[in-house]
Amino acid sequence: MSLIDLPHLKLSQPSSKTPGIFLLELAHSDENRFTIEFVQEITQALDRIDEILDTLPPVQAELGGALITTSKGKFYSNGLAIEAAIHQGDAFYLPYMRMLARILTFRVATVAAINGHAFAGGCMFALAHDVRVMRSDKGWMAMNEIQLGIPLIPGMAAIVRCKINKPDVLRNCVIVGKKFTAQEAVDAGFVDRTVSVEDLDSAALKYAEQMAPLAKDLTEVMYLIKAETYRDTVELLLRGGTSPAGYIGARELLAKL
Amino acid sequence: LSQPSSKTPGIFLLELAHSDENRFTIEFVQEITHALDRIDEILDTLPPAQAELGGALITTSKGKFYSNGLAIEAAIHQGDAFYLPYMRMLARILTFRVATVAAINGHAFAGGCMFALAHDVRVMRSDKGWMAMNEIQLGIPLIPGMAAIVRCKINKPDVLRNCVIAGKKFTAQEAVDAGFVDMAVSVEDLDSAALKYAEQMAPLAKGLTEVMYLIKAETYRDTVELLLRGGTNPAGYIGASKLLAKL
Repeated sequence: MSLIDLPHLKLSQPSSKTPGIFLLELAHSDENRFTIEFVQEITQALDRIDEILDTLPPVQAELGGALITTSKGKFYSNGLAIEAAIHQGDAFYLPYMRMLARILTFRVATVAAINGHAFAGGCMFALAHDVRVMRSDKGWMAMNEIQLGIPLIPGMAAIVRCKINKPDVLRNCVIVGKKFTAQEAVDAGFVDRTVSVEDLDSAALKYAEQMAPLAKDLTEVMYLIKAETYRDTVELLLRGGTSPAGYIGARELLAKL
Repeated sequence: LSQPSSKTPGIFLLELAHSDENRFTIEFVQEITHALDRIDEILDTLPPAQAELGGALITTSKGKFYSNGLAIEAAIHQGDAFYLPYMRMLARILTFRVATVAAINGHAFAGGCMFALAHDVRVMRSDKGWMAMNEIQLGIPLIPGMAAIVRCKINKPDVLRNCVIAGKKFTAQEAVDAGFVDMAVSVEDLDSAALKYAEQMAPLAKGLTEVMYLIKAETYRDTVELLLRGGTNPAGYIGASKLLAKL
C-alpha cells in the first residue's frame, strides 16, 4: 500500500519503530529513466514525505527520520531519457536538477540502496544522497557521458564534484567514464558499503535507523546544514540548466583559449 | 612533435628541449602553443577512419629536468605579458581535446610542476627527480591561477599543505602515495608506460569531437576560469594581499 498513488513508484514507511523513515521504490519501466513525468512523480513523493513529517505528533517527530531510495532488477537508474532531454532542454533539466538539489539537502538522512546499474543521471541521483549502499555482485556506477558523446551541463559537473572530489577518481569517473563496481566505488570512497543483494534492504534500513535521530524533532536544521555545506553545488543546480545566468559556460571558455 | 603510435595517428609525443631545464619563457610558451595548434590542425584533418581511433598527447623531456619552472627573472620583469600566455597554455593542456599524459623524466618544479599537474595522467621516473611547488623556498607568492591549478589536482588538505606551504619535494613514490601521480616506473620503461596510457585512453576521444574538451572544461571550470581571467590581478578577484588587509 503506497502512501501516494503514482504509477511509477511506491512510498512506504518500512520501520515499525520510526514512522519518519520512508522507503521510496522506483518502478519506471525497467530502467527508471528520468523523464519530465517521472521527475514530477518523485517530486510529488518528496512533497508527500514533507507533508507526513510536518504532521507527525511531537513524540514521533522526536525520533527523527530518513529516506531510502531503491528499485528492483538490473537498474537503480539508467539515467536521463536522452532523446527527450535533448528535445526538451531546460524544460527537462531544470526540474531534474531541482530534484537533485532537494535530495542533496533533504531534511532527513538519505540512503541510496543501489540495487543495480546507476548510470549518468542515475549515478548523479545516487550521489545526491548522504549514504550509498550497493549490491556487491552486479551493477556499476558510471558517468558514461564521455562514451555517449554528451557534455555535462554545469549542475551535473557540480553534483559529481560534490561527492567525488579526489582528483584521480574524478578523472576516472567523468573523463574516462569508468564503470565502478561496488567494491571499486567503496575503495574510491563514494559508496559506503557493499552487500549481497539479499542484505541490501536491511543494510539500507540499518543506516536509516542509525541516522534517523540526526533529524530529531524534524526541524530544518539538517536541511540548513546540508545546504550550507553543499552550497556551491546547490546554487549551481538551482541557477539554471544548460546555460545558468551569469555563468561562463565551457564553450565560451573555449573561445578564450 | 611526433606521432609515436603506428596504430593511432591521433597520438602525439611532444618532447621538450629548451636548454637543459625547459624553463618557461615567453618564447618557449609560444613554441609549445604553436605545437598544440599544430596538433589541432592535424587532428582536424584526419580522415574519419583515423579520427574514429581518437588520440592523446604525451609530453616529456630527457635528462635531469621535466621542467624547472618559470624563467623567474624574466617573469618578474614581464609580469602579465608572461603570465597570461603561460596560464592560457596551462588551461589549454588542462582541457585538451584528447587525453594528456605527462611522462615526468626528472624534476618538475614550480611552473614545471604545474605544467605536469595540468595533464590528465602523470607517470614518473621512480629513481630520480622530484615534484615540488618550491615557491615558498624561493620567496615567490602564488598568483591566483597557479594556486587554482595546484588545488585542481592536489586537494587533499594535508597533501596540499605539504605541497604549497611546506614546499615538499615529492619523490615519484611519494607522489603516487599522495594520489597525484598515477604510476612510478624505471626510466627505461617511462616512454612505453606513457604510450600505454595514451593508447588505452585514445578511444575516449573517438571521432575527435569537442566532447572531451567540453567535459574537462565543465569539470575543471573554476580552475579554467581563474587561469583565463587574468594573471597577477584577475578582474573582480580579491587577491591574497587585499584579504590580509581585512584580517
